[in-house]
Amino acid sequence: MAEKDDIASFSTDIIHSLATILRTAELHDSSNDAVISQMEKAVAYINQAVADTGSFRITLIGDFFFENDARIKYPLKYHQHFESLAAKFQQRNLGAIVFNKEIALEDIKTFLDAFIAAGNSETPFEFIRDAVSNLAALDVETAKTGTKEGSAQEQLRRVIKKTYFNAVSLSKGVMEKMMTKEPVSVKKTRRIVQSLVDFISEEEQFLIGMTAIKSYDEYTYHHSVNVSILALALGQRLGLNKKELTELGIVAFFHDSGKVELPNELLNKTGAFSDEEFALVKKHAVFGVRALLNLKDLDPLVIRSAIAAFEHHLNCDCSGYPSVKMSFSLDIYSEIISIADRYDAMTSARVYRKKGLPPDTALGILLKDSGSKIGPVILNFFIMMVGIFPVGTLVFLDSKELGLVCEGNAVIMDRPKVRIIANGDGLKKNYLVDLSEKTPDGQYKRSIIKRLDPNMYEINIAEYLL
Amino acid sequence: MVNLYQKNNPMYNKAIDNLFIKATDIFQQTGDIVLKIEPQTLFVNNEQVYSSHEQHNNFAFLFFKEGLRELTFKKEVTKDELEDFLNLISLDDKDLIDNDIVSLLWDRNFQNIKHVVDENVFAEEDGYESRATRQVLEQSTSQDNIMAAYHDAFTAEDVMHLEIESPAESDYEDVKIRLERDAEIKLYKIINILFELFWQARDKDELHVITSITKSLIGYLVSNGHMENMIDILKKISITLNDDDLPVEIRESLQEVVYHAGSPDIIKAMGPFIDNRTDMDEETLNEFVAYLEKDAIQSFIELLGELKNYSSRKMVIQILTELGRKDINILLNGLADRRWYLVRNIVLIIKQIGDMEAAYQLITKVKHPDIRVKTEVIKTVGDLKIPQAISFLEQSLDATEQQVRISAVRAIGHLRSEKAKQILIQQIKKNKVFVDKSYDEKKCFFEVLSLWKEDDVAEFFSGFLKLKSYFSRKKIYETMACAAYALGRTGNKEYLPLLKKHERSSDPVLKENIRIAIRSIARERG
Repeated sequence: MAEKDDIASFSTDIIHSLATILRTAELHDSSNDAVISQMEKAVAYINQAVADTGSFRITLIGDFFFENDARIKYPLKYHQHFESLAAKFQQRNLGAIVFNKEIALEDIKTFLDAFIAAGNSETPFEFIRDAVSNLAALDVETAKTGTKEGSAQEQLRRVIKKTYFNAVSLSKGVMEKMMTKEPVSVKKTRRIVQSLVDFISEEEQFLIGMTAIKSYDEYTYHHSVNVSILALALGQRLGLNKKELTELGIVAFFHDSGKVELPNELLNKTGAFSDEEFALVKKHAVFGVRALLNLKDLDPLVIRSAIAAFEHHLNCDCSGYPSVKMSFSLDIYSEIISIADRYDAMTSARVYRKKGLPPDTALGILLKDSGSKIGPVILNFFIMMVGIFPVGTLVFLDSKELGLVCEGNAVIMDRPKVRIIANGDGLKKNYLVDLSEKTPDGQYKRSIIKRLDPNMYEINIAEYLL
Repeated sequence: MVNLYQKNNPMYNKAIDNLFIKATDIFQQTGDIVLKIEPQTLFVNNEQVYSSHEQHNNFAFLFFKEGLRELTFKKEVTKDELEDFLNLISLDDKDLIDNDIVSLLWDRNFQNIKHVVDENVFAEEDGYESRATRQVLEQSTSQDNIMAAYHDAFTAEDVMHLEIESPAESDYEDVKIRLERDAEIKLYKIINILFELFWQARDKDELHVITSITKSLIGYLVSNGHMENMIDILKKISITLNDDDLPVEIRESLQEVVYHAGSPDIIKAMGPFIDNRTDMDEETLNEFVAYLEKDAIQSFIELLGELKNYSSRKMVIQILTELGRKDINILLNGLADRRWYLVRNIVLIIKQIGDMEAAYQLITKVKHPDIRVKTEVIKTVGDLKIPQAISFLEQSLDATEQQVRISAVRAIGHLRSEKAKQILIQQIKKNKVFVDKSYDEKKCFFEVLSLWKEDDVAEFFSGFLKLKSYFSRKKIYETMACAAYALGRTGNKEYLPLLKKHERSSDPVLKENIRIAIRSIARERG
């Protein structure tokens, strides 16, 4: 029997070869030698997996493929293949392929012909299902049954909310302990971050959405958690493994530890800072290093956290703070955290700025700094992650409905899910629409035509996202 | 059991095998096993399978306090998984400082051992979620505000669609390279950061904190064998200290760091690395030592007493030979140690340094009774040709231990003075006492004396070849043999006839030495 890693490798190979076949078959006929050769490879991988596990199911949940319950990992070089196949599944409303027993070349050929042809069908899933209905070895499921059952998803989201607030509560506890120089246990943070890592692979967009719920009174505590979540989501996009993600999440959680050394009056000051005060606020990056290196016995995690605390405002060109004598090339964690930090800070209401910036405005500001203060590559991944209409953006649709973006669309970036807050007559409503939905004639049902600042109208985002 | 035996112990393997066989039996009867966890009890199918009211060594409580509420062992569980699981729950508190069982289970990601956790155990405040949710939901968006937004929307600017390109293959490559590069802990960077902190410190208190952190970092570096980074810190400090404009407070702080780098705790921590020769070659060590102050001498003396391998000790002896020059008195103080090997090595170091004054002090400072120490001192003063040590060496000729006496003879030989020569001659002339010495000791006297190669010495030797005695014949023959050997070493051909007279001696020792002597003289003549 093959080992667990072998199965994972088969899954990766299967996804990769399916994506390759589809790309080749779109250009050539499915009887083309190159396509047939790829198909033979796919059949071999599938049959090996079936032989080892009895039956074998590939499911698309969100933007990720799963082999039974385990998310299929892939090397970075396969990312585009995985992404394009996920998009094709979504466009065809296909949620899962089940291989019940060993398949023949003809079986896979029938499926792939149907899959390609379904791209032009109004009911693509049904088209594929009918085409493979006579095959005993292969079955398909719709995205509805392929994704988590509604109640299971709701339950998971409830757990995510609970974990989010537990994390905020932990952040509060940690900061209070650091202020009073009490010992801080990294255990709890690790546990919470491990949960977030699990959630981020299953409910990335929902978790990102949680970061849009800003608390004016407890900004500092929410901010640590939000930066941790945004960093995790970005880290996942960049291909970090679970262990690395946990490390990144913890490092991000502690990035602002230096603030515990700033006087409360300064943190809560509503007016503008004097030069002297601002100089002190800027010292929090340095204070963070001290606080973290004194937190516990030194180890790689503490050292990495201290580095990120020092670098998160430094900027890629070292133009930020603290001012440095030596030249620093930012650690990749620092760069990730820096983007997450700036985005969350800009979109949050602060004591000195009653309203946060709209998410898209914040993205625009980040983009302006791309290539100088911010590395363009990581920023690009970040924008791909939050979307060009990030969660919390107030949008006006061509259907004359007003809504809040509540879930990004990783494939078609300008077609997120939107929670409608006002119908075509301007009346307060609360229902969900998916902007990737099409009419029978292939036109999108709704599109974003305008965007507004939700803070200007005191729209409570939490009311719609929680 | 897993704690009692090493993994390679047959008892350990047998215990794991037995457990796996038993578990497999149970799985065949019951299928998956679901363990429900309560504070003092474990249940399977509502049946109590474990109970303990102990606070320690209580599995139920151990699991429960970490929030673990259910453990499922699937029937497909493998022996490796079972073993790994047992090892995991056997970890002691030291191993679990930053981890707990649930975190470790998560890390392991067992395919056939699943767990359910109650995350509420980590909530810092009861009811925080509902309070926080209530707070953020407090202000419901009014219809008026929504209507205002709705109206404004009609006149708002159209969205400009941002064109965001998907990351290119090269972007993925770039990220991959950076992830690989940054996977290693960047110690050089934290060092640079600490130096930035030194510069930015506003007052003595801040400097004190940063100094203390830097000292901790040095401890971390040395405990983990990161010697290159240690050297990096010391190198940076050395460069910084050369800056004449350096504020005095920073100078003092940096010097404190250097002292710490040479402190006994730090140097002691290097011991295992030096002994195993892991991450610690001689060149690196020498580079490190070059930055240290004299305070480190005592630390290295202590380390020298701890090291297990000869080659490591040799390395540290070399270090102390260099470092010891900075303050030889610290080395001399080390001579009071009770460990003979340490004292002997310090004597050796002093000899290698070649400080005559310090070496002379060995005579009075070294009190250790061990014969190996005594001989090392004698050898040192002899090798360094310290004329004032002559009386000490002469006294040593009367030592009770032959090895000491022989060393003293050789040391006197190194002095090569007239006085030294006379001392040896006088010793040999103490006929009764001398004859009774062992053959080796007697031979040593003659051999050393032959170094003078002077006529009177050769004449002195020849006298012994004319001895006749009816008593103690064996002892007399030994003395004659030694004299013959020494005569040969003088290379004086005048004594060939005398030597040849004994060529056919019935005493084999004398005969053999005569043969050697004749050959020596012949060789000398060319």
